[in-house]
Amino acid sequence: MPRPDRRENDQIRALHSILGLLNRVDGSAQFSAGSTSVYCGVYGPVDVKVYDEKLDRAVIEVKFRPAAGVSGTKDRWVESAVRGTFEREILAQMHPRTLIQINIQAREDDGSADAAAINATTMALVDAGVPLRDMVAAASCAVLADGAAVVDPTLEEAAAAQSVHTFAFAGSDIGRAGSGGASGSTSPVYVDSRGDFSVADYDRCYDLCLRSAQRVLAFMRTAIEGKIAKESQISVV
Amino acid sequence: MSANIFDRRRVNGPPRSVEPLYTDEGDVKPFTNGGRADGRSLDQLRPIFIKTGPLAVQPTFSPTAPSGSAYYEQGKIRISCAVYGPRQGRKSNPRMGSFDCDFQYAPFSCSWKRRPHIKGADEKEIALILEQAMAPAIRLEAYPKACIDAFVTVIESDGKFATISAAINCISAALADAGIELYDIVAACSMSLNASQWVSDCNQAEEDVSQCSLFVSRMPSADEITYLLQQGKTMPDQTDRAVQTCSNSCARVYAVLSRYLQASMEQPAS
Amino acid sequence: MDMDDTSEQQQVAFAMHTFERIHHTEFQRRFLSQNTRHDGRAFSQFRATHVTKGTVSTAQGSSTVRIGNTTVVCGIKAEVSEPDVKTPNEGYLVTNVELSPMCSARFRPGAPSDEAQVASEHIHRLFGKAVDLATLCIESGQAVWSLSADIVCLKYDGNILDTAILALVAALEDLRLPEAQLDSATGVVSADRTIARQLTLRKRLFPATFALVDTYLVADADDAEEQLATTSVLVVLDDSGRLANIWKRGACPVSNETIHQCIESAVERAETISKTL
Repeated sequence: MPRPDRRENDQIRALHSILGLLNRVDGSAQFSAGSTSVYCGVYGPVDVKVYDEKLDRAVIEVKFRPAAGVSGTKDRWVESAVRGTFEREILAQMHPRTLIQINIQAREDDGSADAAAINATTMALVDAGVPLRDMVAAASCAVLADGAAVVDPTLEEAAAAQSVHTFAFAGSDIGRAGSGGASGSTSPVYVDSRGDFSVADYDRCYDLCLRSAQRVLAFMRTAIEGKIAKESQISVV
Repeated sequence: MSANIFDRRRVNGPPRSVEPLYTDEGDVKPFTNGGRADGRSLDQLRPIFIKTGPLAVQPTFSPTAPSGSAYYEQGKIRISCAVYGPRQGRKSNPRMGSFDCDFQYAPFSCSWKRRPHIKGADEKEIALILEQAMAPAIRLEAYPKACIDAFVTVIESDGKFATISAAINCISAALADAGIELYDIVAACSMSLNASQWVSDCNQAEEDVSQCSLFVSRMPSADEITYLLQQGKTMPDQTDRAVQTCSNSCARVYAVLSRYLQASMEQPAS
Repeated sequence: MDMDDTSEQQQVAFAMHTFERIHHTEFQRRFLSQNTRHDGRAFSQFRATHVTKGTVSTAQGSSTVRIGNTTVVCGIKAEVSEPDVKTPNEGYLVTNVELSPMCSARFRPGAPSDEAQVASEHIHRLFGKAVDLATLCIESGQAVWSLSADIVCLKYDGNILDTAILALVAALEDLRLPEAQLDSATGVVSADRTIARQLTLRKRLFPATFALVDTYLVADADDAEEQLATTSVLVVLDDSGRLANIWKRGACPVSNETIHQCIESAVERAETISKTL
């Protein structure tokens, strides 16, 4: 059954990003997949309140604001997802007694917003020069009522779906899987599968999201290399 | 009040909601022909059950567990209390410690409307009452610069004054469980005036039809009243009689409390 | 009980509790490296679980659930409200988890902490499909039942999510909704509690939480273990054996194989709890 926007089941929407668009923060990025669009601004490392500071590592704080309305428990949930994902990927031990603050602003939500938030955060952290263990790429997948698994679902598709799955993977893991490793050996950094599904559905979505995450990661790399090339006027191979 | 305050720190329901009009009420009167609907005599208290300490054995020492805790039941009233302390406090008085109490109703605890999560004025008032009722019994000079915190949650309430009395009894048990030095256990009991007769330990239905309610909290060994609160009009001699009878009831509650606390001490420590 | 710190041939002996306070990580590792846990459980063993329904008479549905020392009471109050314009036939089920200083010194008094908010939101979304909201309709477009489920934690010893989810399932099964009618002339909804119907749950949910303590994956971590675990995996199954949620969050990556092992453990756990509920 064709999707409303005529995409293939394993086709993600057109990705678009802008790096360094905000001039007050240390690093920023806008990440869009189709109509879903998220801004992320990163301050770091900066001063931290003495009450909150950790002696051996940086404190990582995430703030998420919705596109419209007052922030509520939904946004706390997204914050905890993003913070959990990046708490290990950010090399916080390199900056003890400081704060790395990640501010995410949803611009438009047309499905797969959690994945977009994670992707935007990765790019903003790289733009800010925060030391990272690895880049994180996220992708979503939905299992529709007829059993078909579609990647990067729109809001409409996700609302009607039997289950929605969001996965985030570290870059090195994606590379390993891409070069022929079994998906059983990959270790997702974030998993959120919700709805009514079977283990087989989960596995199908896992593989689809892994492959989508490869494309997202390749896109992020290209975008970042492009920016560096422009800034330094040399070509990066 | 049917409007629900939007609380951005909680999951919110619809902006307005009300209790439906229940058509099955009104037939059972709490007092009939001098007898009570639940069959108790006028001065009979509801059965009390207390459980102090953790509900199951704690295998290891936990730094975030309360120093003492108690779960108290009196008829349908169910209250849980946790006591922390003595621990470092915000107010640092070099001569004596401080005692703070936090009181809240669970949203489903009252038979009438669902209670909002945000604390109301009555919960704050009751917290002050509990502080003032309990503080005289605690040897605060033994804990300079420290603070003792009690957190009380009412899981089910059945009679406002009865619930406050039950809360006081619960805190007493929790303080004893925490090993805080006390001059005496504080026992409390409530009464209501109905048709010129004082009735002990009234439940919600009985309190609703009474002209006046009061509760007394007392240290029986010291024979001192730590708190007395009356709501409603009476003649002075009626209040006198009530305080006398209530003090006797407090002595009976005290006996029950002591028995439970002794039994919990005698249990093998694990 | 004394434990010797023999790592560097030091002859210092600590009482067990002291060693636990000073070096919590090492204390737990001593047990985990010997394939056991500090309370004697196996890695895949859940604590004793007790479920009691109908514990609060002022609520229309209630339950008390204990997993080990973690105790929660769930109470559901039913009120009447107008439905949302977009869904005129659907009622509301609003879930909130209350983590107050009463259950543990970990929580500050005042507004709910981030942890409580995340727990409330997650459970609220999880149960969105568990109840058929159309059964809460009194009069389409005018009056619906609004169920407020409040999960109050009395004692906290880790694994609040499992306990809260079970408590809500039990309270929903205990719920008795009175027959209600809307008087369109006055706009008043009247209800008769003597004719009460049970709510049919679309599906019962059985949760299982696994935590990564150090490098070991343990089921049903208690508070002491949770402090060291930055990563956890929640698997929720329904009574037909299908999955309702897999939620892996936290810093450390967990291999896909491990997630499958968690699913298998969760299936066993679901079978055990379904007999208790």
